[in-house]
Amino acid sequence: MSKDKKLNYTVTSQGSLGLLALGDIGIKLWRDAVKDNPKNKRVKPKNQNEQN
Amino acid sequence: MSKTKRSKVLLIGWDAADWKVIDPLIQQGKMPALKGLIERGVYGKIQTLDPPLSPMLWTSIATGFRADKHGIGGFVEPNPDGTGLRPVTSTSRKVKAIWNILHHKDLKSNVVSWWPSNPAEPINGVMVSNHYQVASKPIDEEWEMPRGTVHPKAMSEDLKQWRVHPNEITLAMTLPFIPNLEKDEELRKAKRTSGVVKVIANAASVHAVSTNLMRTTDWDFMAVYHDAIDHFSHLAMRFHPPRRPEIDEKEFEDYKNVVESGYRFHDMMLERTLELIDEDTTVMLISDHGFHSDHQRPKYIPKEPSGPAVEHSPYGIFVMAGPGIKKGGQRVSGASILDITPTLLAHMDFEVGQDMEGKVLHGVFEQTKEVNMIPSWEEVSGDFGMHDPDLMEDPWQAMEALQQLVDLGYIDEIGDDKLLAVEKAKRENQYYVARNLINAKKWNQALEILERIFEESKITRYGQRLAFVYLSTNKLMKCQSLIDELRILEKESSLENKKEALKKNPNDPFGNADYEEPMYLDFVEGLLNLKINKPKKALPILEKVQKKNPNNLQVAVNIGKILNQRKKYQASEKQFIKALAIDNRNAQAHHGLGVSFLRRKMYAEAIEEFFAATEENFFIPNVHYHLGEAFYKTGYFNEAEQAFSVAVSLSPGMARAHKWLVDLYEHKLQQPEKAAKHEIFLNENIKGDLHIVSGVPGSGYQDFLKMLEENHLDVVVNKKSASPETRYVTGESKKIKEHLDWLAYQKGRIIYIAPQYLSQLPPDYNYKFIYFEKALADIIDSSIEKAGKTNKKKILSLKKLNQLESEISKIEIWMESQPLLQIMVVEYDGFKKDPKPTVEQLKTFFE
Repeated sequence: MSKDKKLNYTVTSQGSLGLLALGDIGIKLWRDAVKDNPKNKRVKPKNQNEQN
Repeated sequence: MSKTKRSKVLLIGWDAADWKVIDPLIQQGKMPALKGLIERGVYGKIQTLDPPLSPMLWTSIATGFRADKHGIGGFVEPNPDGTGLRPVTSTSRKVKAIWNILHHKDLKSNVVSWWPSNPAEPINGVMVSNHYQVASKPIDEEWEMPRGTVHPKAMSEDLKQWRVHPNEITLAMTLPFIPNLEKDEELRKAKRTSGVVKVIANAASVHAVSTNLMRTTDWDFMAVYHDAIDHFSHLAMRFHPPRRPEIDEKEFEDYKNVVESGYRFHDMMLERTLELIDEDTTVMLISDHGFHSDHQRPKYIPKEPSGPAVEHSPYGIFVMAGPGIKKGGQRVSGASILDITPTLLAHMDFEVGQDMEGKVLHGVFEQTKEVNMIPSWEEVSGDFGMHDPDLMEDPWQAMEALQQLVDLGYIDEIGDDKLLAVEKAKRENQYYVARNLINAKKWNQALEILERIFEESKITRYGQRLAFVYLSTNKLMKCQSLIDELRILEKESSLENKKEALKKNPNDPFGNADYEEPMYLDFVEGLLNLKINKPKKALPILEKVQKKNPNNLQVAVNIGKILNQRKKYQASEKQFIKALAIDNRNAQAHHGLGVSFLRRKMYAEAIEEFFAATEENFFIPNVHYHLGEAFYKTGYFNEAEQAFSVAVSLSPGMARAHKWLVDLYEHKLQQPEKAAKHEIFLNENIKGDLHIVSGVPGSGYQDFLKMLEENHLDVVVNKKSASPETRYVTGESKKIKEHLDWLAYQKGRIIYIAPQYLSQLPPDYNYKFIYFEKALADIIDSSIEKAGKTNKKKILSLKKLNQLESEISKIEIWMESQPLLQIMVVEYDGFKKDPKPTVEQLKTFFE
């Protein structure tokens, strides 16, 4: 079992659940992609206190 | 890698994960990682504790103790200065967790997000507390890490980066949960949507930091707790297909994928987690309770603290795989959340505390495991990586996490009057501990708490549980008067609740007090009537409860049990089938159905049900006992011997199982040396011989007993009775369970027990039974004769005939179910002609 996942797809700034499921490395790759393209389409919740 | 070559253990917690959701997803190929894990090891259900509240349960999982011992009594605790509330902390835990024991053994543990684990404990390894992932501010403000979140503190700055803020979550990440977000702008602003987004972010944070620690640190034991399945389920299980009529169609369409996607997301995270371990690592994946996902989903959420827990179901999931663990996806039964720590310690070849309330799950191991025991880990001194006793936490840093609990509906809004809130919360925690004690049948401790908090508050929930404790401890007068008091209190509070609910949201079916039903109290009242021997009154009450709650498993099971006790086996069969329609994996329902078959001599069907019950829960002694009985009746004596032996191993004091084993070894298997062992037990534990006579009205048993008296045999009589009909019927013989002391004084005497009360006779006596046999036709004649003037047609009604047959069958059923029963059959005709030989035979029989 490999600790270093080899990715064979392009990481976009939109990210994906798959990237989140990769854990720390997925998040790093995604955040790097966001840095390159910060205009993301997000679901914008209110801040944590107001959400629920 | 660890310095030692010990294989690693990874414990993963998925709060509220339930096989009823997982099974179809696995069948559809939607949870491949979990499927693979199951195939590599064992799986089964895991029983939760009551109340099913996560901080208490996860602490029981990590310690092997219940709440009264481990000290975590609910979601919140008062601040040390008593001026407010804070989320429950790790400093309140009174006993050692498994990671403390492993610290003592020089092993390295990583613990992530365990509930509660803030402040992080100074263990050998890394602890990231359950406050780690909670975002308290918008993304454009600094997101500080609360003090105590990470141990060692030096890693705090580095680990901070793996937190995912809800504002980071993109539409692409959310669409699998809520596809309609693509086109519906309004839906993006919905409160429930925000809730889903926040749960995704929190889950991603926990997974990211745990995968990072798995990759970058040396560890021997790792425990990762995910609360997301529980939170997705509370947010959207009501919208999980199929849609129920009360659910709004649009909301259903919007949120119907949330639960399924939540589980699939966890499977994806599991896949990655499993990639980060080697083949020598043992994996255990568990949940603390399940979550109703089908027709058992509640129609309302009670307006009370922890009300949402009504959606929890009593069985969670258990999966274990790795070196030394059975392979091939075998099912294990009888696991409780209390068993996790003892089982993991045994698996790692460490000592298990004898005082731990769980057991080692021996069924998971490939080879028999020798378990080393010590009296208690609590008595062992030394370094366990625990907090300094005087550690205190700034309560205001914890307020954001507390708000999250308010948002989820687990706790009430904190009012202005903080002192009052603290007082209420303290009482509520004590109530949860009392329920946990009831769950463990520690009645006296529960009673002490409930009497106090009910007296202080007059909160009906507390009173209801108190009524149940009164009932269970035979304080029946107190139980009845409390039920009367609660009826009045409930009527008043129901009106108030209704007003409140209408004020809040008249259109929300889940907030509508009209759905609230005083079911629990009816249930207790039904059981009370049963206990005071008024089954005729008990059944309609319970049936009323069932009518209002047709999907309540426990009600169906209890009605079935009552009907079994009353020997109404066809009716009990219907109830148990109803129970199995609600949950076809319920061991109690399979067992009850099996007993219903057994008593009707449908042995093959009975055996099938008993096997089904053992598959669901292996550790119910009575199931094995009845299985033994069924095998015995069908002539499978070796199988019967095995079943009774298991019953005795699970319940060593079960005298009736020992009796069957003596019978089997002596008379069927010709192994007198084995019989002798059980005889020794019986000689030490059997209280003596009881001489019982039984017979139906019209069988002439009164004449028989009168004759015995005349021949100077010692017959128990009712001195208050003036009628010959009732001379031998004593009040005590009708309520034997309540008069066991009286029974002990009747040793060597002849007691008449009416057929319907024979089953109350306790197993710890030897019985010599005189069966008074008279032809049914003659009994009918006697009955007609007795009816005399009122029965001019000289015909016995069908109802009376049915009654007679039922009474006779009760005697036969009791005789059939009694091991080592010595029976003397007395024929009425022969006795009537010449009683002397019968008297002589009797004297010999009684010697």
